[in-house]
Amino acid sequence: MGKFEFMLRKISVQDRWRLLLAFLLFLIPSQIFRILFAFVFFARKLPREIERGEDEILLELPLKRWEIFVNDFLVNSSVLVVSGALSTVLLKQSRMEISKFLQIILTFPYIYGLEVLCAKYLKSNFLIPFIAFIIDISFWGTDWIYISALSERSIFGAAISVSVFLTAFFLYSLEDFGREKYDRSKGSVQEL
Amino acid sequence: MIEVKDLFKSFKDTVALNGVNLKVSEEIHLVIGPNGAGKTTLLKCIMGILRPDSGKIRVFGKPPLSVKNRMAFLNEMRKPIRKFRVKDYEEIMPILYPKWNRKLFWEISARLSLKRSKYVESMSAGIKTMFFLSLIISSGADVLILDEPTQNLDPLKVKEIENFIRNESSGKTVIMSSHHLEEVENIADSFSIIDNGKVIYSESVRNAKESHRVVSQSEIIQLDEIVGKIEDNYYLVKTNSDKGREPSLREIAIAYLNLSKIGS
Repeated sequence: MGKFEFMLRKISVQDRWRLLLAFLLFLIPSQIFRILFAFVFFARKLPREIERGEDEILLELPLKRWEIFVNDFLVNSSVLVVSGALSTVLLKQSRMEISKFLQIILTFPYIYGLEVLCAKYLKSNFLIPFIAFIIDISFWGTDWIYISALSERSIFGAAISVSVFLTAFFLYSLEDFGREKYDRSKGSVQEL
Repeated sequence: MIEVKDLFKSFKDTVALNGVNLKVSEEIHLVIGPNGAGKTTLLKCIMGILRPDSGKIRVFGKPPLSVKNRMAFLNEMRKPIRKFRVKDYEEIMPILYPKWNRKLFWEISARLSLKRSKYVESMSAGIKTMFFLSLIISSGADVLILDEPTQNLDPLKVKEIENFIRNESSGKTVIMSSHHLEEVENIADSFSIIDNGKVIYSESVRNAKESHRVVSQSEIIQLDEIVGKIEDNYYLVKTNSDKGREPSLREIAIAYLNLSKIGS
């Protein structure tokens, strides 16, 4: 809970106005717009810090990589979920709209995971994921929509979303989990 | 208590640490070495920021990540969290450090005339260093890892920071790197000289000074073990005699680094 609270405070200090903007924009009940907005919103959090090497500042505090990854995702997702949930209440949306909103929530792990991976390995927290977004939605007129991780129309989409998220999680947190390798007899650097 | 055994760390083609061994107990331990020697990499490995390729690090007998909330780190660049003010740090520190001492932080802040609403990014280099040191001291951490705490500061500020470290770190394990050897030798209990990713000499300041002398070329006899040249006509020798004069920490470092250069 402490690490979640830390991340919540950090985000509320750094992105006070952006949080308010996020809250207002996420009230707009358009699926594509909300997904696009989630891309922009997540890109400015941990993925941006990874791209700029600023995540090391957090690692100098008593935080592990996996704690940073998980808590950053949870805090930011919560903001979008609360905003979206409020919009369904305030705008008295139909069941159909609510189900679409749930589909959008399922895209969050994919978007976040993709942005973390692109930031870590391609030094692009937004542009490359955004191009992936454009390409993805441009095929929504075809059968692609049923396996797209952004449309979440089938179990495949959800599976891809979770897989990308877990891949990003493990690759980012690898240094927390790797086994310690100790061999006194070695006289040179060992490969893991 | 920090224990480092056969530590290796490389970045692509560069070997940063090449089998470092080190033991630091409840004391102020200084890590000395030229730029690129591996000092910062070593400190980051101890803090658990970087993972070594191989080797073993134990802090209080445990891997660094499992005792991270008993350690506090001062980074070389004094980079703060973006948009954070003094009061923001004051709010997050008790969440991260169970032994956070608010009273001590207030006392130090008052001494430094720190305004709670001041953005850390906008502070001068000296104030920023003092601010981060005050956070680190107030964190209640048992291990303080300080990367170049006296870097880019005027001599007066260097003195102020040394006094601060000496007065506020009793009972803690402090490991710090510094280029200001003349000043920090007064506060360090022990030191390690690191070059090309290896510890080439490690000793308590007192023992090192007692077992070495600075002598001129004409004073050297065959029985003396010459460590290295310090400057024209002056050498550092290992001896128990009282000829020549007692070396400074800087002179010991220069001689051992010159020896290492010849060796490699």
